Amino acid sequence: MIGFHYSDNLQNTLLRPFIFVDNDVLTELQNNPELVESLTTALNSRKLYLHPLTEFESLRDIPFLETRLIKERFLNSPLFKKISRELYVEFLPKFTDNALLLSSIYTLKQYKGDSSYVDLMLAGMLISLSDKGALLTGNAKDFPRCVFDVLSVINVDQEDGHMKAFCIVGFNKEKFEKCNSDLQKLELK
Amino acid sequence: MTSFPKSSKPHYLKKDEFLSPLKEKSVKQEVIDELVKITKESRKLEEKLLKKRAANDRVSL
Repeated sequence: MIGFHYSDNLQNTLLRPFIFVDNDVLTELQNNPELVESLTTALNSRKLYLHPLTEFESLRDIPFLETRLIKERFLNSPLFKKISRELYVEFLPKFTDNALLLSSIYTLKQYKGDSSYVDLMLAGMLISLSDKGALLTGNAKDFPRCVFDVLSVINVDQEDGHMKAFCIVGFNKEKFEKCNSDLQKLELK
Repeated sequence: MTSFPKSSKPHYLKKDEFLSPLKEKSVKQEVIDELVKITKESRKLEEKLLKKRAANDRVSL
C-alpha cells in the first residue's frame, strides 16, 4: 500500500451522512489498485454516493466494449451508492434552481475558475443537502471558497515521489447566505 | 416565462426528504479486495490498448 497523510479533522468530516465522489477521483482510482487501497483505508472503507451526472461523466467517451464493461464493474462496486435516475429527476428542478443562483454568485464574486455544468449541478445538490452532504474531489478549485469549505484533505504518495491531494468539500450556508444577500442587494439597485 | 424561473432563495431539503442515511456506512474488506482486482484488470487492459494504439500509429506512419 502506498502512503497517505490526512488532516486531523477527517474523522469528523466522515460523520456527514452523504459523501459524494467526483469523477476525477473515479478516474484516478480506475487504473490504480494501490490508490484504491490507500484512499479507502483513509476513508475507513466508507461508502461513497455516486451522483447520476458523475456516473454519466465516468461512462462517456469510451469507444471500446472491453473498457466499458470493466468500467461498469468498477462503478457497480458496493463501495459506490448510486442514486436512482428517477429520484434524481424528481429533485432536479430544485437542484437546477440552486445551480443557476450559484452561477450568479460565482460571477458576482468574480470566481475565475471553470466550473462545468456537472460541477454546478453537483454544487446545486450540495446546497440542498447543506451540512449533511460533502464531496470527495481532486478539483477543489471547482467549488470556490466563497461558498464552499475544504473540510478535510487527504494526501496520497505517488510512485514518482509526488503527492496527490484529495479534498472533501462542503457547503457553507453562512457564506452562501452572505453572498446571496449581496446579490439580492445588487439586483434591487 | 423561461423554463428556469428566477429564484432568489435556495432550496434546502428537509431531513430524509431526498436521501436517508445508510444503515451500513462502510463496506467489508472483500469489497475493497474485489475493487483492487478490477482496477488491476483495468490497468492491464489500458496498457494493452495503449500498445495496440501505438502499433496502429506506427502502421499509419
